[in-house]
Amino acid sequence: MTASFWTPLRQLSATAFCIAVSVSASLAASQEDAVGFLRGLGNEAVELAQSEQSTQERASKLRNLLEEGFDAELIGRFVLGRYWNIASEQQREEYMRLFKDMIVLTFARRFQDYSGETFEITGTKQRGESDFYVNSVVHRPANADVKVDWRVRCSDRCRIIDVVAEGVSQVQTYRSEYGAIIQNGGGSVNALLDALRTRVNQLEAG
Amino acid sequence: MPPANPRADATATSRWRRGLRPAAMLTMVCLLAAGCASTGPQSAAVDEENDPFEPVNRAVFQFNRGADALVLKPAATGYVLFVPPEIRTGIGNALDNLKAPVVFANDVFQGSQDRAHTTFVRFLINSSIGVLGIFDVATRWGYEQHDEDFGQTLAVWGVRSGPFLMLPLLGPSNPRDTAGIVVDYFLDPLRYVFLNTEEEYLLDVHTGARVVDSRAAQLGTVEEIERSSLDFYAAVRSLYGQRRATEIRNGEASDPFALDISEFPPEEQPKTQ
Repeated sequence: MTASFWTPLRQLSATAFCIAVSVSASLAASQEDAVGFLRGLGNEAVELAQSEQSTQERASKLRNLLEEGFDAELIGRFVLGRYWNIASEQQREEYMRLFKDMIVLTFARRFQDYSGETFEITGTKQRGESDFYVNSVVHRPANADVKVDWRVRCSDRCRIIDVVAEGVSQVQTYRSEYGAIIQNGGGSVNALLDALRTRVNQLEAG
Repeated sequence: MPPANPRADATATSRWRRGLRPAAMLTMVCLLAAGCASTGPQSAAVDEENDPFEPVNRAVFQFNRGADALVLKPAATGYVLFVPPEIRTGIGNALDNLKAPVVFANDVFQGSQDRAHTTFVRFLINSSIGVLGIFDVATRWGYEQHDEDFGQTLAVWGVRSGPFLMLPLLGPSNPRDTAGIVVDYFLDPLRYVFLNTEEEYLLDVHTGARVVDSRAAQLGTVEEIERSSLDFYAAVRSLYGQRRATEIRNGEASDPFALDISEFPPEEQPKTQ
């Protein structure tokens, strides 16, 4: 009687153990995934920045690279915060489109200014179940080094969800800034869309 | 949180009262900071910015940008253009080294023994072997530089930041950090060294060098933030808050995604704050 009571329990604990092992194995793997992913993306980016291509060709490649490397949907939504709820379907769509455009254009400008910066991965720190901070140092030829932490989320595949430079989170900055624009615009998401549209046009004009 | 602070402030000030005429003023600023602090919410990584003086702050920000464009930026650009990088590094190192006594005092005020030790050893090594701090030998020997100021000390003691302030010429701040600037100013032994010699102008030279050196370090960065932001003032305000929060925790950044919606499935409504 006792045996029949304990056997399933023992099996259960054995199963639990196996699951625990496989989970920790997969976690350990994804920490490497996160680093590998970022290293790959970094190399591609540096290669692209150094390559001799037309501005247009480079811009389209950069867009692909960013769409592959960043979870723009998640970032965009987080940045809009609680205003996502009051935005109409149309506003959400336009916001996402403009937000992505702005990120691509901002990075395109940074690529133009590229002057031999290299980045070195110095460590990783897990945060929650599938998030990792990959720590790096960006060496700039003419200036002091910058500490940049990349927050990478590896659910089905790895993607960047935040860039933290010297302790300052890029998505948090966007979020505060966009919140301020909406608030100063009387709580209307249109105020933000106007500002984004103007800036995207400016950036596109060069 | 206030109970511990007034007493701590009092000991900090009484330590310096002898030989310090403006001690009364200093205490007043501390009280002001503590007083303001009890009203505003902590502004680490929350959505609502604590900025009741926004219109005034924005006006001051415009003034500061004008001053920067007219004086500070040209000075910093000239400095980078005409002074070779090796010499600039040496000057930067020497200025860092001169900050060591204030950093050390704040390490002690915050009860961080290891960091105080690091600052102390750094100062000894760099002032001697490093030739008046020009060569940062200590870093190569494993004693890395870190910053501390009295604003951070107040934060560690539990004093809240109070509302965001844009100070003329000094830039983004809050009552707590403003009190910190004043305390650090009077805490700096260098000040008394200069004042007790006939070379009082050295005080201004030192201040000027610090300002130009730190602006030069930010050349490009400031422009980059301005270019990528829709509302430069709001971006700077957020950057300052985050930067200070990280510094107070000695380098550990806060987690913005802890705020709300990181984990929600695409079709689910995110929680409102």
